[in-house]
Amino acid sequence: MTNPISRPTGQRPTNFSGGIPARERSTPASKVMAVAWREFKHTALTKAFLFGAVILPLLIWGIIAISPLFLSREPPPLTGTIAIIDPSGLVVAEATKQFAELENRPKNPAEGAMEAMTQASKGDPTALAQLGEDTGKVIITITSETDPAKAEELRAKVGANELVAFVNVDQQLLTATPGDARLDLLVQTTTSPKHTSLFTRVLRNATVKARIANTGGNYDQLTAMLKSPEINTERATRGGGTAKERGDARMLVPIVFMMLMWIATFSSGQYLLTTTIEEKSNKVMEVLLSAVSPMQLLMGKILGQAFVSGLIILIYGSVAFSGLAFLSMADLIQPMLVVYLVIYFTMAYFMIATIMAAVGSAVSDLREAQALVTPAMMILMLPMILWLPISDSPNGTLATVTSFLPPAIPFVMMLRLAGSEPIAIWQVILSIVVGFASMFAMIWGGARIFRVGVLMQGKPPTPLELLKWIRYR
Amino acid sequence: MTASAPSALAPRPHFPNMIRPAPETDAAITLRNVEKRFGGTRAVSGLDLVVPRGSLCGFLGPNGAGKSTTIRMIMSIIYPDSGSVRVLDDTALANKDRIGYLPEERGLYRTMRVGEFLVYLGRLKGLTAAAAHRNAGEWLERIDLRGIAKKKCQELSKGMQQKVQFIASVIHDPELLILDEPFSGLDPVNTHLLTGIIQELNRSGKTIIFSTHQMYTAEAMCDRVVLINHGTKLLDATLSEVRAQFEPREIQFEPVDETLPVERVLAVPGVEACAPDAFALDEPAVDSGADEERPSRPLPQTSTYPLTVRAADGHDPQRVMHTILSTFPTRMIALKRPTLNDVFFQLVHASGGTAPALSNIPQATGG
Repeated sequence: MTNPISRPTGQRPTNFSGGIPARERSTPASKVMAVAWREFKHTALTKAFLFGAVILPLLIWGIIAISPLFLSREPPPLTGTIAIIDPSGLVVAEATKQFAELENRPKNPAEGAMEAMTQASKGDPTALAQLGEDTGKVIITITSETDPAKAEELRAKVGANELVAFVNVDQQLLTATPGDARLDLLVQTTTSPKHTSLFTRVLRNATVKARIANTGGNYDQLTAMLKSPEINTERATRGGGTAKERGDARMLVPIVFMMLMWIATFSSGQYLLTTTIEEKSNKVMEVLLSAVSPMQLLMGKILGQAFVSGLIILIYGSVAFSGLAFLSMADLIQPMLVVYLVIYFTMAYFMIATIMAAVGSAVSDLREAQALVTPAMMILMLPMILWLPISDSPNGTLATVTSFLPPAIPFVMMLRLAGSEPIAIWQVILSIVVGFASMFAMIWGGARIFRVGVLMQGKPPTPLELLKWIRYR
Repeated sequence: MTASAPSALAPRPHFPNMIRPAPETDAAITLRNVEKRFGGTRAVSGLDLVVPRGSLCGFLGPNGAGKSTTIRMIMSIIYPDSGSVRVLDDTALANKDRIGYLPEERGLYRTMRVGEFLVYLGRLKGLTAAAAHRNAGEWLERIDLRGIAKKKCQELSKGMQQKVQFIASVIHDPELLILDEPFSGLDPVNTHLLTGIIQELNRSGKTIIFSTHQMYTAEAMCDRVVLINHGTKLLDATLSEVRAQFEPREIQFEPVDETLPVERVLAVPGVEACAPDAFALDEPAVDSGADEERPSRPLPQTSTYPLTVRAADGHDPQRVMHTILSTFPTRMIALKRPTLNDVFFQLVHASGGTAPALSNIPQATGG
């Protein structure tokens, strides 16, 4: 082993860096990169990050994707007899027909779920709701009674579980003026709510059909006539063609983009706050400052967390985009929107990172940090609160004004740009100019606060004192 | 001899002016008239300091004296309000990679592995990753920490952590090493190990400045000592200059008669004070002829032996010793050689006692 301290007695170092040969010396830039790599490694390459930022979102996405399979759990089979007092015999006939149809339909819940998912992706809002009504195997026999006096006897049979249910049809229901007439349904104590719901649906349907038949109408003709027409909405694209309009999905794009940026910047901002506080409370800060300048340390930390933030946006963005691609809706994302995302994400990240690092440097624990972060958070929460009004009117006064309010600029602009209304190009350019100018001013101020804060101990400063630190020598 | 005789609380005439700064030629560190205030508190006042290259300089002073503040200014971690600081012919900022620094408030990344931590610090100190790896391994071997590179820092004992922190300050083979309380918290075995390494580093040409409260360690290691209190320099000289200048005036005396009253010793011509220990010498009660205005405590009939006797100014301690020897049957008598500890106490007391701790003041915790 070569002893690193074994220089002959009296010999003094003559080269620039003590005993370090030139080829073993790193550069100032590599010091910043060393800080950045440590920051990235100890944030992103940890089990906590892997679970919180990678596995958890994938798990949530997976659960959402497969939840219909769990929702469509089949209830126990139902076999038995329903007694219906219906002197006209019309309701009995319709009900018998419908229960027979139920008996013959396919009973694979997975098939049903996949079918519903496909239907839902095609814009059928009722498809997923119907999944919950899968009633499993149902074999029902109908016995028809015409004498209303037998009602009590039949009720007793339901109580004794000899009948699945008893139905008494008020004949008034089958006239053109049903008024307040009712249909009584008595089920067993143990009947599943799903089955009760099924009986209700079948009986309502059968009664309506019986009524129309009774009054001389044609049910199929009437339902066909009452059906609302489907509207095929298309949106003209920049290339001169047309694309299928997806109003609801389009409404969600701006908030998804803003949330993507929000989650990515705030997660790594939070990490930056935590690691800076940790370095202060672990008393490792002074050791670091003997090796690098506060500016190098700050740049390294911000750069390291920028990679973390980029990784988060890549993971979440990819999951969101693959989801859209799965639903054949990838065309909702315009390529220019991705360019804007990169520009405004950079702006948002550096603004928030600087605020978080400055606050982290000034306090000794997270609890103290909350008091200082709150004012900045209130401005940054603006786009969240104003999401609906801004989305609703992307060129309104509120949206325009908040587009030039520094910490909120990137979030508001992303909301507006991802929306459907075009934004004046001068506003986009001005917001970028104002945004980046503010970003550099914040980095400058933040670095000066950081430089003072990292060595401060004791009582946390007030926001006003924090601003005073900017002027310190 | 009266109670109003010069007390050790006032500067004594036989305490020479011990501000004997080293020549500025070939200085590793030069401070000129450095001032630093924190709010209304003056942490460092008009401090001039020269640390010659290749020296091993002890930086002494009570808690809150301004040691750590001075060291932080030397390191360019904080800046003086006025005055100038030059380190290795420039500022510490420009020479970070040539300086090793062990701060008083030192820490580790708790969840980082020891090897990784040392390589990280090595890289920040200007080493390439390969050189940092190599040096970390070599130092862990050298400092009896082999096999812990893969352990997390939080798994180490306090002493081991301290040794890892020491490695972090020397991993880049600096030519100037600044150690703020390097021995605090170390057991005697590790203090001995570290002492040896620091001396070896100094013999290999490094300039080393370290602050400590352990006077015996400083006395054993340093070739130069600087003592500050209330941010002001009280002593700045080589150890041999200190020893030569601090004339021994205290005598250790153990009479055969264990009931010998102290007042009889005080009656010996040339004896200024006498007490069971050196620190009680300046208590008025044991002085002969109590001041009329001051009530005197009853003198002890017997004493705890050996007694410490101080020769009065203008009297030769050798003659006083001879008189005592000829007056009382004596078991033991010796002229005390002043230790750095004695010098420390005398100078700090003479400058107005210990400084208040500068707690709750930013950047000024510790000495």
